[in-house]
Amino acid sequence: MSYQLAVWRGAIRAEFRMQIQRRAMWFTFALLTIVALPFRGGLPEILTVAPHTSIVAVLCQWSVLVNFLGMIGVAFFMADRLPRDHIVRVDELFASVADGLAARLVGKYLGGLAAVMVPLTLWYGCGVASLSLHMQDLTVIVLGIVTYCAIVIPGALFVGAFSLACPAVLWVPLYQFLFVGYWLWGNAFPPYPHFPIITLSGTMLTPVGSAISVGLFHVPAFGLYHLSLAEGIASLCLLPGIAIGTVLLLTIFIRWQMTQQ
Amino acid sequence: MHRAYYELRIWGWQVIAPPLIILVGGALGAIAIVTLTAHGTHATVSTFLTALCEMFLPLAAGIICAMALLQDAALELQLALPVSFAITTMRRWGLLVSWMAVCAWIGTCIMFIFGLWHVPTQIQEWPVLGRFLAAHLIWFAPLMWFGAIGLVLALLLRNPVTSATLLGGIWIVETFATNFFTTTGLHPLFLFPTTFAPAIDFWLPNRLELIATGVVLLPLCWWLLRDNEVVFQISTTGQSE
Repeated sequence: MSYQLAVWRGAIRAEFRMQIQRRAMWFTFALLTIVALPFRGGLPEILTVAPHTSIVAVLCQWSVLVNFLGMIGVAFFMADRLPRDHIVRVDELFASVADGLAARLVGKYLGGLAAVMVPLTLWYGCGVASLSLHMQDLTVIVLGIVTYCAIVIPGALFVGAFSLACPAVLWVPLYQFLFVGYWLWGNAFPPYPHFPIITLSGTMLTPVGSAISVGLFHVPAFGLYHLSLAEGIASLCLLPGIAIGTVLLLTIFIRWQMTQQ
Repeated sequence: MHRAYYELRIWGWQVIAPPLIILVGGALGAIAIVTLTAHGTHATVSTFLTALCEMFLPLAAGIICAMALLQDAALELQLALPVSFAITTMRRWGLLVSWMAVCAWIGTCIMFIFGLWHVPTQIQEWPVLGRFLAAHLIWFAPLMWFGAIGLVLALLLRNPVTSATLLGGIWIVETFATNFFTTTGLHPLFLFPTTFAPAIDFWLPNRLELIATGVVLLPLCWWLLRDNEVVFQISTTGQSE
């Protein structure tokens, strides 16, 4: 058990360091921050509307926007973590050492995701801090932490898990293309039948956070206006639950793959 | 021809499959909309199929250009050959874009024959042959733009993942900022007018401007590719960082 724990800790530390030192990641999130400025729910807009509307509504809008653009960065920078092991040929080395695959993969997932969440959290935090200063109200920060934990974190866990797992079977550029298509189809469209194409958008499986925003905070997002509290809580539990299941399935798949070699 | 076959064999299904997946998936999606939903109208299916050719195929080309074009397992050998790597990469670019174009051309022909596409207002009164030729501008303009921008971004930013992320971000923003592009003077940056605003009066100039942007960026790509240090840096950091 202590061996597994050591592998897990080591993997988290190594992955976090590798990912956090990627200048490209910081640069990408800086550009995404700039791209998000004129967007609906962007910083200039929320600062303008904040005095005239509920602060929870403004924070939910901000969380959903950061999720909507930021998760593209999370997905793309998590997607090359597994293929990298193969390219630099450390997967063969890992396969030859004693069993610690599950701990290593969970460590890789948590370490990589934690690092890519740093710029995203700073981006989110800048918005909340600006809002707090603008409103001269410290409760904004407390509420900002609540919406961050409820909307941003579950989405990131979900997207991170799939972005780590899918490139095990898909070519990275193909996964990235499919992800962008999915992100629009499964998150940004208004829910069916308000939109003519059947979509996951507006269901409990919406990692952009619109279901949680509506269900938990009663703040409409992406054409979704009504969802019960129970459905909001279910979404909050389902997204991390599916993420855990995905990492478990990845472990089983890679173990099976290793036995086939 | 022999060289094109050789390059395709190196790439394999990774490059051949994406446009086929888009076309077949799109066709199945259109059938599902008609048969499984209550919204299987001409307008819905036309929007869906137009978006397929205008939005999805060019995005796939852009991401592949950014992520894969500069990756070569034998890069050091390539850099030592009498044929420069710049020429090899531009050939690969041409081959990739041509393959995407063939798939988009087939898709557009089918859409045109069945009348399942958004006819831009500017060309509605044109004769059939003129409309048929103009219909191919739906995909050709964004394909040239995404293909060239994908390669330029990879070369300028020296990081394939950053370039691909930015392409994804641009694509998402373009789908939500229709009003922004139609009401401001940023017409040459509006990538998907046929899907979102076919009634605009600058459809044809927009298509030509996008193609011109792509064409202008290609010599820049070639010029950037001549710097072996840049190419080597992209190939190594992009894969192993």
